[in-house]
Amino acid sequence: MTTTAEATDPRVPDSDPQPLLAVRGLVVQAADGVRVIDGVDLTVPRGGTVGLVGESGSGKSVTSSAIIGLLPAGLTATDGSIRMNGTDLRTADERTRRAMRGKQIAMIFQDPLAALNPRIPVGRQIAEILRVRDGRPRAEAHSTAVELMRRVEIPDPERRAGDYPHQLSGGQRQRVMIALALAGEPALLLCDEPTTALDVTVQARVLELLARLQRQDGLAMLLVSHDLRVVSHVARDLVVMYSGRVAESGPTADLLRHPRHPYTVALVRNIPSPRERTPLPEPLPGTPPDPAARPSGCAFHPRCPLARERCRVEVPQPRESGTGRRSACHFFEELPDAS
Amino acid sequence: MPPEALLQLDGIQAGYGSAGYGSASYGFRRRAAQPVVRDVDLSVAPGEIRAVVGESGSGKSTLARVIVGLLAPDHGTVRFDGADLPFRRSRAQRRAIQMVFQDPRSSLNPRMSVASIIDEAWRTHPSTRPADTALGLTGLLDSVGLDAAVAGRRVGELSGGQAQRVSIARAVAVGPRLLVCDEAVSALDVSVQTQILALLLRLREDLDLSILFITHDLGVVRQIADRVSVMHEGRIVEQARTDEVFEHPRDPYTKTLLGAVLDLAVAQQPASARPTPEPQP
Repeated sequence: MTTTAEATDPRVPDSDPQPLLAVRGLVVQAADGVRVIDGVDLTVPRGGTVGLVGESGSGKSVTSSAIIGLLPAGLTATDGSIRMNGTDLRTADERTRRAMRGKQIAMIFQDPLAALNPRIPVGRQIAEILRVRDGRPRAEAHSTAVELMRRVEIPDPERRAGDYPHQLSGGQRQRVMIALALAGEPALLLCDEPTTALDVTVQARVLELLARLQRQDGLAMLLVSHDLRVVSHVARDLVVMYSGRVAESGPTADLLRHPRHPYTVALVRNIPSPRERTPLPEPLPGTPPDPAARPSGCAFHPRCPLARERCRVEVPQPRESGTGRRSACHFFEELPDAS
Repeated sequence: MPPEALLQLDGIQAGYGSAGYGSASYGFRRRAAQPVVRDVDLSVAPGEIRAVVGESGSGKSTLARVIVGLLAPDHGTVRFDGADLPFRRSRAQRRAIQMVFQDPRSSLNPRMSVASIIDEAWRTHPSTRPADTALGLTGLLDSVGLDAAVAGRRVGELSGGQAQRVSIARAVAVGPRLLVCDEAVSALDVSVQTQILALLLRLREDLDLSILFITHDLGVVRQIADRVSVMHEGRIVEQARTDEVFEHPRDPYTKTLLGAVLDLAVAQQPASARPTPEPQP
């Protein structure tokens, strides 16, 4: 870890010598040796919001599971580092990791119904965390729980605290999940597909809440989603993953306006816009690859319009492609917008 | 209602209490529940892509079940190609309307080979079986963008996009005139979604198909539908040409829905980067 006091440029996430979360060269392997995650770099600055996007098999969810230390059975983080406030979570013992979880890093999931206990009122579920972990007295824990529910904008929180999860709407349940996550006063909130299961009208309000928590409380967030539209509205920086590697990263608006990886170009072009009807884009051939059958060289080369011999044989290393931006494409300079 | 409509629904009401295959009432006493679909009039013109858009619980999937004949309506009539379409349908009537579901891995048997899934469709509707089955199968797979080598593989081994191509192949194998797609591209990766949308557009031309496209994704609706019906709490609150609905929505719910839909935030700043409106303490 470098301790040089460099000038930190908010536009350049890597300019902070000790960011909140710094994932470097992360490798996650399956029992059979398959590198599900093959060298991922990712930085969440203090108070920053980073969107981690990718399609199926991109490794975005495995990356977030590795960060919180809940990798599915059979997967192991075998190389690289996951530094949270300077502590490497990959090599830390279970006690250190458990102390981090909830307190430093909290997580919300796609399906709150599966994450909440159906037989306990939601207020008590939040209060339980405060009592068990912080040893707060029952009454105080309860009032803090109600306060948390108010913070996530659940109407009439005193009464709602007594409701069971099934009595709440999908949007309210996701708000309860966010309140649960906030109970530990974490510095970083991992959101795995936070609005995917919600209706459009509800989705917009939950995103607004997340954006407000970030603005007002300086809560840092890592938003993991397949939906670039959702992420683009909340995240200041984006990390685009493809087949267990980072294809491209950088500030959201700049990256979407001038993608410097052919995969990002295709992603942006293929999102159907509700604003105007346009001819369907030329579809990319094929499907996102399974990590076990990752193509040689650049994993995107079989689907890439720019691909040539070098792409088949040489894995492209991420290199600077603009202010605060990196692209893992040998030939991003040839993309039309890359001026 | 134009007389040339291929499918015409008038005053359809249906719901949990309705009779049907696999309906909630099966084996239970019929409940006097609130109907899920109320007073729905809807038509699909020949060759048209008609979208039905709504949020969860709006009744759009229940409506699809009535149209394909899985659920009997409590009230109202379904007409197809100028004739009444009863709940108990003839083989030819069933053949004419085929359905594609959201998740091919649960709507198709994952342990069956692609060839046997198609063969089953041809066994159900023998008149549609090509003279040379092997050749017909290759041609069919080719028409949905699948390699002939896929025929021997099980659905469970295929990717989501390939499996959805198989369910489209199964549907068009029997020569339908109307394809009902219920969230048929919603579970697919965007790079694959475009492939399937392009396929549906091409099949419409090649096979002279009409498509009823049920979805919650307004972006997809804008890109492919000729006309759109907006459903809310079981009713169609607005229906018109797609551009008309998106540019001049009349119903308050449609306005809410269109106001909430997210486009890629390219033009504007991300919400978190906007100046803070609240005063700082």
